[in-house]
Amino acid sequence: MASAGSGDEKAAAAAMITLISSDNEKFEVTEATATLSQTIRHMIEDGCTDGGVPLPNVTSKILARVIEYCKKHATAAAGEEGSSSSFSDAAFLEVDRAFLEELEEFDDAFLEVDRATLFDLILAANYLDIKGLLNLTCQKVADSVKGKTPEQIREMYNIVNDLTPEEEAEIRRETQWAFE
Amino acid sequence: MESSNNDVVHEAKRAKLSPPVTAADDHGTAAGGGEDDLISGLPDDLLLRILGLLPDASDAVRTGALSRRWRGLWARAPALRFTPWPLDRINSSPSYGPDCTNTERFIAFASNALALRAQQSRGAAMEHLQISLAQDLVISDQDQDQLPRLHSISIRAAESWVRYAAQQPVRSFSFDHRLPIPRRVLPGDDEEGKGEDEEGPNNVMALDDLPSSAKLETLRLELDHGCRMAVAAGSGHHFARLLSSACCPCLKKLRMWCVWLPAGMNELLVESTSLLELTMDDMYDMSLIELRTPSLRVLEVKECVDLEVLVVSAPMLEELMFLRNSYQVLIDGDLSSVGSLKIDLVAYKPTDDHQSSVSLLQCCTSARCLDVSLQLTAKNDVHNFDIIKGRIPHLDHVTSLNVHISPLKRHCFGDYVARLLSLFRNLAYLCLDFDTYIEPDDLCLGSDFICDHLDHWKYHKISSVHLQKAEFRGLTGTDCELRFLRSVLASARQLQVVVVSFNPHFSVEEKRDDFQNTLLGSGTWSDCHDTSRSYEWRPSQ
Repeated sequence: MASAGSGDEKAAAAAMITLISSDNEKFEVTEATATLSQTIRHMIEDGCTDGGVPLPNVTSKILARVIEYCKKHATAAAGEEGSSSSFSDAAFLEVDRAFLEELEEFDDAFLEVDRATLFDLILAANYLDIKGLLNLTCQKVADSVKGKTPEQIREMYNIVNDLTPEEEAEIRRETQWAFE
Repeated sequence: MESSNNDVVHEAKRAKLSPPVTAADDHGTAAGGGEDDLISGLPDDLLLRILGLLPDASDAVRTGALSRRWRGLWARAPALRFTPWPLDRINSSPSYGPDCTNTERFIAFASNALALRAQQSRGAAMEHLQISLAQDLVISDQDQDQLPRLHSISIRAAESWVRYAAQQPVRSFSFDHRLPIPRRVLPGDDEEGKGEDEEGPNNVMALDDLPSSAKLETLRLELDHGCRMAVAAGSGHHFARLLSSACCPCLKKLRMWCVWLPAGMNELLVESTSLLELTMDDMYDMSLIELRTPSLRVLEVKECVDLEVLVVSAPMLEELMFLRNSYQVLIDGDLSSVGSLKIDLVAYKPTDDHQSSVSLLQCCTSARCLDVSLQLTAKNDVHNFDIIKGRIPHLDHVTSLNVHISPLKRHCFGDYVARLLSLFRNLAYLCLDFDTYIEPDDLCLGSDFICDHLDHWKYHKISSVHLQKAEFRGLTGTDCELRFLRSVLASARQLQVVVVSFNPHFSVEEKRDDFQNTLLGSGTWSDCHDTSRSYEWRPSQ
C-alpha cells in the first residue's frame, strides 16, 4: 500500500493468476482471462489467490481447453470495451462483425470434441461459473437431442430404459402429440 | 416446492464440492458395457439447463419417456417453447400437415403439457414461455368452414395461457396468435361484418379477473385481425390493467403487434412504474395512446395508422422510434431526454402532413443520434418539400446521422438530402444509405454516367467541419452523385474514415477507381472484404 503509484499499476497490467488442476498441473493466465470465471473472480476479490488457485474438480486436459476458450473470449470482451470512442453508438453497430464471425468459428471448432470431453467441459464450466462456455456446451447437447425419438436418444447416449412398458405407455399417452 | 429447490441446490453443491468429478470416471459403469450413460449422470440443474435450451416443447416432453431419471424432469425446465410444426417434423411425416385439425390438436397439446407442468414442476421457476400459433395453414374448403370454430378454441386457449403465465408465474411470456382469419371477422371485408354485433364474444379474449403477476417481466403479444383483447366491457382503459403496475408490478418489456381492442375502444392508457421498453406495432383502431411510464427507456410506435394523439409522460426516455404512423399525430409530452430518435419523412406528402415527424424533431432537443427514412419522389415535386425549412432550427445537438434514402429516380435526391443536411453543423458521423429504384429506361444505366440536370443542392450550405466518419451506401456511380458527395465532404477536415459501397445492380467496376480518386484527397483506399463489397478510405499519415 505504501508503495502505491506506478509500481501497482504495472502489477495490475501484468497480473497473472496460477490455476492448479486436479492432477497438479499449473497454468499461468492473465487476470482478464481468469475472471471470465465468476468463481475465480470472487476468489480474486476475496484476495485468496496467492500461491495459485487449486481447482480439484478440473483435470489438466479439461482445464487447458477451458483456458483456451477463456483466452479467446477475454480478447473479445476487451475489444468491445476498446471500441467505444467519440463516435455515437449508431456508427459502430456493425463494428467488428468480422471478429464476431471469427469468434463463432472458434466456438464451432472448439465444440469438435468427443462426448466425454463435452460433458467434462459442461461440469467444469458449471463449477467455474463461466456463463458463455456453459451455454455453448449445453446448447450442443440440446441440439443433439432436438427432433429425435426417445429410442434414438437412448441409443445415442446409452441410456437404459428402466421404465415399465405400462409407465412408458402412460407417458406417451399423456402428451401424444410430442411422440408422433 | 421447497424440496425441489433444495434438491437442485443440493446437487449443484455436491457437484461443486466433491472432488474430483468428471463425467468419465463418475459414471463409468452406468450403462454396463459399451459407452457409458454420461448424460443421465449430470446433476439436475445442468439437465434442466439443457432442456431449457431445446427449441421446441415437444423435444423436452419426449425426454420424459427416456427413463425414470428423466421422467417429469422436463416439467421443471426453465423454458418451454410451443412452436407448431418445426420444419423437420413436417418433412419427416407427410400426415403432419398444418391444417385445422392438427392446429386444434397442437392447441390441446400445449394446454395439456402446461397442465402437467403445473402438477409436476414442484414450483420450479419458469423463465420463458413461448406459444406460437403463427402458422400458414393449408386451408381446404372444408377447413374454411372450420376456421371460426378453430378461432373460438384458440382464443379460449389463449385466455387460459395468459392466465397461466400470470399464475405460475412466468418471467417472460411470448404469444403469437396468427391464424388465417375467418371470412366473417375480416375487417373491411364487408361493411356489415365490421359492426359491433358481429363481434361476438368468440373473438374477444376475456381477461378480466386476471391474477396479478409478481414475476412477469417480458410480455410479447402478437395477435391477428381476427382476435381482439379485452379485460372487461366498458372503457378501453380496462385493458390497461393487464399492463399496469397493479397487475404486473415487474413488467419491463412489452411488445404488442396487431393487438386490437374491442370495437369502440380506441384509447389505451399504459400506466406502469416498472416498464422499460414498449413496442406498439400495427395497433389499428387506436386513436389515443397515453403513456404514464416514469421508467420507460425505449419506445417504438410503428404503423399505428389510426393514431391521432400520443401523450407521453416518460422522463427517462432515451430511444424513440416513430415510423409509418399517421402523419398527423399530435404528440404531447416532454421529450427532452431522448438521445436517439428514428423517424420517417415522406417528400411527396403535402406540407402540413408532416406534423408528427417535424414536431418530434422540434421536441427531442437533446437527441445525439438521428435516423431518418426519407422517401423521395421525382424532382418536379421538389417545392412540396418545404416541411423542414423554416420550421426546424439547426439541430446542433445531433452528432450522428443516418439517412435512408429511397429515391424514385436516380438523380432526384440531391436537393432533398442537402436541405436535410443543412440543418446539422456538428455531425461526427454521417451515413447516407441509398435504396435506389431502378427504372428500365434509366438513361444513365450502363457506361454513360454523364448527367445534365441542375445541381439544385448547391444552394444549401452543408457543414461537415466535425465529421470524423462517413459512410455512403448503395451508390450508383453517377456524376451527380459524385458531385453531391464531394460537396458534402468539402468542409471536412477531421475525417478519419470514409466507407463506400455501390448498389450491386449497377455495373460500376470501371467507374470505381475514378470515383474513388475524385471523391477524396490524399489517402488510401482498401477493400473491406465484407458482404456489401465496401471500400474504405483513410487519410495519409
